[in-house]
Amino acid sequence: MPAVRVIPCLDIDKGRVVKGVRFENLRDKGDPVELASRYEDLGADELVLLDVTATIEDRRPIYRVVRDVASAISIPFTVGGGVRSMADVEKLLDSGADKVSINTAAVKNPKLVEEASREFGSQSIVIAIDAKRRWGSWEVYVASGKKPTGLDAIQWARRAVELGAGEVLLTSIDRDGTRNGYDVELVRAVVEAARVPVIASGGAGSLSHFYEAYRAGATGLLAAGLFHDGLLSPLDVKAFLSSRGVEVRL
Amino acid sequence: MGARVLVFKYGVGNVFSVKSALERAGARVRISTGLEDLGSYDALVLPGVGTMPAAMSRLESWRGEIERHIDRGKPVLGICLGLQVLFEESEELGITRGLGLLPGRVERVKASVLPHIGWSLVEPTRSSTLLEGVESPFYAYFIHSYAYRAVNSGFVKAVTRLENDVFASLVESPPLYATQFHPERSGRVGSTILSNFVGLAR
Repeated sequence: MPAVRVIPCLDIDKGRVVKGVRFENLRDKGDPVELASRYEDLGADELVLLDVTATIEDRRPIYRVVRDVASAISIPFTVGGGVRSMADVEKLLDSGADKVSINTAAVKNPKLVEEASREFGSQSIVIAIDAKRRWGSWEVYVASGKKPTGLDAIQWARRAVELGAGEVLLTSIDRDGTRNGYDVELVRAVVEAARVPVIASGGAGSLSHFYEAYRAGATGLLAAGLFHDGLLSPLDVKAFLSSRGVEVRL
Repeated sequence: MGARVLVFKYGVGNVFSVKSALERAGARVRISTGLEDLGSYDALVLPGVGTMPAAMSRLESWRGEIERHIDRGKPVLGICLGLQVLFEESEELGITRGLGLLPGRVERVKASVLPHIGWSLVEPTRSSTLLEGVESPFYAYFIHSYAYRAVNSGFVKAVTRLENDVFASLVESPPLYATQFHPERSGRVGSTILSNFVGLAR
């Protein structure tokens, strides 16, 4: 297994980094290029940029921000938000994104995952799943967590991987921004179903939360608010994981 | 003046970060979808985009230009898929014939979780020009499912282990140079490797 990746996430709204709680009440956290460079210096292994309002405001993806970030950093990054077509995927990759994540459009049109994986390679296509607990299972929500789909998150993850997605970016809506810890049961269930790398997202609030998600099988550990607010740095997280015997890039 | 480097966009995908990284390493870079002007460049970069069959369908018609470039002793850097196309064939999506500039077949990595995405250790096994000044072993960023697995070949200069498998992560057979990882996305180490390559191009 490659080293476990610590991944700061930049949620973008109108060109600025923002962060909310359970996908609501977005607050300004700074400039994307500045934050991206700072996180590289602080030991981030990878970044995720999500245009969190693109789909609900019916906007195209954020090509200019992607280009600026791509020229500034020398670690890989994934871009998502408002990706609806093969042309969107191609233009994001052309702008310097290493991977493109598809969420709402994949649910509406699963063929997009299949076609994009075949054309651009599975390794460049990430299926982003926003899931909410419901009785004993998890339901997939789209449009920035605003629209329930009736889909079971575990089954959808398995299906998206069969269609060609090379990675799963798995966010627990219930935990997003709460700092109460990742939904490790959700992570474990998707890791078992997917057989591709899984990035755990939503709820990181302390060092031990990262370790718990790693133990549940996630190979990417994503966090946003606690990095933006300077409570922990990616290096802090990796030093802690290393002290627990987890392989990280230090 | 910096070396003139042509980045060949023979497929679909991210070549912008390769261009940015080579420029940071001091090169003058142009991205091109054809190789008709290759003769006026000091070096050629084959970036890592797309799948083997798609890549070869566009590369095949430029085989002559690439061979002439190599015959003149000018360096080529293959990155990720750009390493794989140098070999005789690959088993990605059925057997595809490669450029055949290096002997052997690219195979699917034997691991339970693929693609191999993330930072893995690169272990040098023979002395290498690209790795001059690089402390080893080092972490580099990988994103692939296929690789060249006959690591005892003399042109394999570094290897990477994944689960119980081992594959070539860096090959050199001057003027051919190639990495299975992405130097443009491997932080400071990657920048040194690209500077070393740009240094060869003058």
